[in-house]
Amino acid sequence: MNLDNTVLLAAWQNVLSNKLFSTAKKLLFCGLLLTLGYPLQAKTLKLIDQNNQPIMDAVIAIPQIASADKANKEIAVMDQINKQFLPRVLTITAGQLVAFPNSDDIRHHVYSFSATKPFEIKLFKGVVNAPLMFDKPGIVVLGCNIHDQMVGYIYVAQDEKTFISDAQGEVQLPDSASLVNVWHANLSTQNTKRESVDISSLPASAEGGFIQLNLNLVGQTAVTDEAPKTTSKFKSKFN
Amino acid sequence: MAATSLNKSIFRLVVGTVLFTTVGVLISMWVTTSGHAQKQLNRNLTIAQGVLQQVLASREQQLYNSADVLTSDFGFKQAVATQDEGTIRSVLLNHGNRINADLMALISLDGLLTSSTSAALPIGSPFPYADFVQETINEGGSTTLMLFDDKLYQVIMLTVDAPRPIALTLVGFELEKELLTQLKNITQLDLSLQVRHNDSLIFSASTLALGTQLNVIEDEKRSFSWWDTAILKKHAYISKQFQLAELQDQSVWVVLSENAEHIFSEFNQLQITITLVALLSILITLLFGAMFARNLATPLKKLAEVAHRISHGNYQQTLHTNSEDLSEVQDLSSAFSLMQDNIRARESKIIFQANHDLLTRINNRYHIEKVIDDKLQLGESFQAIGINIFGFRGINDIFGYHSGDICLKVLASRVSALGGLAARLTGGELLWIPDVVQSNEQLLKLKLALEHPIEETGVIINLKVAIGIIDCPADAQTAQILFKRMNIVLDEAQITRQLLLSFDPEIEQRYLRRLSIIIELKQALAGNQQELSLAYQPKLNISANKIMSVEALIRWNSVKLGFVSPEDFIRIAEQAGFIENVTNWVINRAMDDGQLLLDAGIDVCIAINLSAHDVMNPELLPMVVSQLAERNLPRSLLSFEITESDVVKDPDKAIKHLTAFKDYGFTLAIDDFGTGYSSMAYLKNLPVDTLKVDKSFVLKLNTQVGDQNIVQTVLKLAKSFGMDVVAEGVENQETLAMLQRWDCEYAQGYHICKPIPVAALIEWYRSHINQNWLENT
Repeated sequence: MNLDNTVLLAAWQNVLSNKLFSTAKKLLFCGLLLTLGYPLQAKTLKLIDQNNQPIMDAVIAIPQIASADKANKEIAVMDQINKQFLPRVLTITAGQLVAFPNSDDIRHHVYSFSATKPFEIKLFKGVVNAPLMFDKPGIVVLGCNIHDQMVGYIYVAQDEKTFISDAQGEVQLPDSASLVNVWHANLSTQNTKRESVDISSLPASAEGGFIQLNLNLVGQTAVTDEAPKTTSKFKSKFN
Repeated sequence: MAATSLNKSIFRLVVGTVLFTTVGVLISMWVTTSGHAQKQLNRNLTIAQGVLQQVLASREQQLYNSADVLTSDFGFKQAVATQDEGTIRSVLLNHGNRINADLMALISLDGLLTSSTSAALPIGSPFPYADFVQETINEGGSTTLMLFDDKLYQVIMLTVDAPRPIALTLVGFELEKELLTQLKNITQLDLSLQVRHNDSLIFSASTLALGTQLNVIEDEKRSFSWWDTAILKKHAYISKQFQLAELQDQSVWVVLSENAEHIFSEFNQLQITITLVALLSILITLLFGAMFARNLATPLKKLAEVAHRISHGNYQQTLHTNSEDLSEVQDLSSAFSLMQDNIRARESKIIFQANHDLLTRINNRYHIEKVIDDKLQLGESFQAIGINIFGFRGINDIFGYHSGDICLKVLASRVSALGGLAARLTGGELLWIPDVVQSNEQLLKLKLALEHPIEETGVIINLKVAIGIIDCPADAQTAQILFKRMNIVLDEAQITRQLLLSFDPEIEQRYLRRLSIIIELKQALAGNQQELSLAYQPKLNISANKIMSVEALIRWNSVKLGFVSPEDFIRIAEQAGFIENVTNWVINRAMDDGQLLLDAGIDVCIAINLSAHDVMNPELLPMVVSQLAERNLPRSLLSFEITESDVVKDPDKAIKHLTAFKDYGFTLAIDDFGTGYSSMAYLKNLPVDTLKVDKSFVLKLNTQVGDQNIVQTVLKLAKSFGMDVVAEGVENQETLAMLQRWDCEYAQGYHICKPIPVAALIEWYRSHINQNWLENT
């Protein structure tokens, strides 16, 4: 191992530790928020698609007054690990910076044609790019020109408190939440559609004590943690 | 059922068999070929379908490759994302040219055409196959056939992913006729591409000509029929269709058509070959069959002709067997030959038996009758000689039938040895027709030769024959007449003991009269008794001058024959064997009349003449006795007269019977004494009371000295035996006086009284009761 390598490794380790730290901090922050802003019990919302499957990576946005939340100065991270965006869905607030570290040892060419934030950056291994500013609220669909199968979403919120459903399709919401905006990439072919839902009117599930929300998804509905090898059933016929 | 000739039979058999076989082969071939063709066709069509699908898939792959290159291009994605219409259009044109696509278009996710290189897809208008837009988005892409502006395209649609679909690109290649031609070259089948909208054809492309194509499309719906296709040639093509794609309300079909003629051409060739082979084999077999039939039929025909000739009585044919003939035919031929010989032998035997007498081996009556008739018809003159064995019945009785047969045989052989024609007519009667007319002398010699005694197993049989001679055609014009007259002559010869007798019409007359006498007399005896009567001639007891007895004489005045002399009919009745009936009648009538006489107070004895047969009849006496007893008449009423000849045949028996009469108290007289043998021995032994001197000695007694001597001698003789004498035929007083002088007891004759009926007798008796018969002298 030569010196350069050692330096590079040390730097990467630093970044990694920073990232871990920030994640932990964020979690702590969240916990604080929960404790402070919504001291009473939370309620669980479960999202189910038309095939009775849990919907993962859905964003539940609760409108809030603009002044209550200043622009988040923290740099959000949209990493590329194992030829996948991580997280799949990133929620930020308008004006927040997002860093695109490349955790793979290969190159990525990340782009977006979304009107909210069109961009393209080439991520080389070991080169740290400057974080990008997402100043407009909306949905940004991320792709990689090299790896077609890589799809990521950045939900840029404004005057909204956002939550993301887990693998069980469940999300913890404050008890007071009633009118919410729900987004999921597959709510529409354009990936930008959001639905307003009054969750207080939804019936509570008898068994789990959660509120169930059924959504109709389009296209490939089976959203799993595992990355599909190809992006298209049709193309798989020919490859 | 009409007979069928061998030739025809063979023809039927051969043609039938070959036709049956051929038709069987053809049918089985048709069935097999039909099935095979259908299978082959199905296989061809299935293969073609596979090939076609493979080709289309391969094209699809090509299409995909081209389209994928386009949609993966980042610049293109960028242009689409930024809706840089100019760039998009230029990229589509550029790329389209590069891959030789006929259609290039960009479609928004909500189904609007945003860019297009073809007027068939106008920009801004909704994409016609909206369903495919959604399918493409869902699946990431799709490929199908689409119809735009009356042209069929193989189309691929892919999403433009950035990275999620932002639009759809469409790449299309027109399915041109060249493709179909190419496919036809691969599959060797005609192809038709059709697009149907609700079952109606809206697009069609085909390698077939337009008219044929329509035909195929119609035919394709029918079931496959070999008959229709191969024979009637209804369908030029046999088709199979399958659906290639379905888009909304349209469906794309591929029709694969095979030329039916092509499938069946080899089969048709085979069919012709089989038919030809069948015809050829029929011809050849017929040829051989005809030869065989000729070989068989010709000798059979000959044999049939031979058999026909045999049936017509020709048994002299020689049958030639041909060494080339079948052994069966040769066997048949020899069998025919043998049969002919046997029939000939049997027939000649039958004819011999039919024409000859079985015993004597000479001609029989039936045959000689024919021969004689033939001779007579030919006008031949010949002599027929009948030979009859005297008392042949007696020979049979005495020596037995066997000896009788031998006599006949010997006699027949003697006759036939003479030459000419010999025949046996009946019983012991032979006929000889000599070749040369024989004189009486020759015949007498012949008679002697024929009568040569026959020695048979130690017994010597003396033959006696009668010979009758008839000259033909003078005495007989037909065989029947000849036989009849021969019978008459021979009868006459026997009766008259003329043992060599020629036919004379007189003989026949006599014979016929005899015959009528027999018939009429039998009738008279049976019923017509008016014809018969009894006449009585008184006998004068000279010494007593008194009529004490009468002789009953039968009289027959036949209605048909007139007066018939008793001599004639009595003799005939004796010969014909019914004299007994006459005697019975006489006795009965005599008893009736005797009753009348008794009633009239006339006491006379009625003398009844007995024949030799009567004398021998043992039943006569008891009948007479019982009749008299029944009528309560005295036995003295009747007496009987016999002749010497009656006794001659069997003297002992006659004497015994007559003695019985005597014992019963009847008196007996010998009639016609002096005319027969007049044996002294009889006079000694016969129990006779009276001799009746025959009238031949008495009629002229008064003038004939010789008669006087005889009568005197008889009277002396009678006296010495203690008998009375009756002189018959007394016709004058002198004779009566002479008889009185000589002490003759009785006189009978016309001088006293002629025979008269009973009523007249009663008259006469009463009127002469006191007459002194000798007074007048």
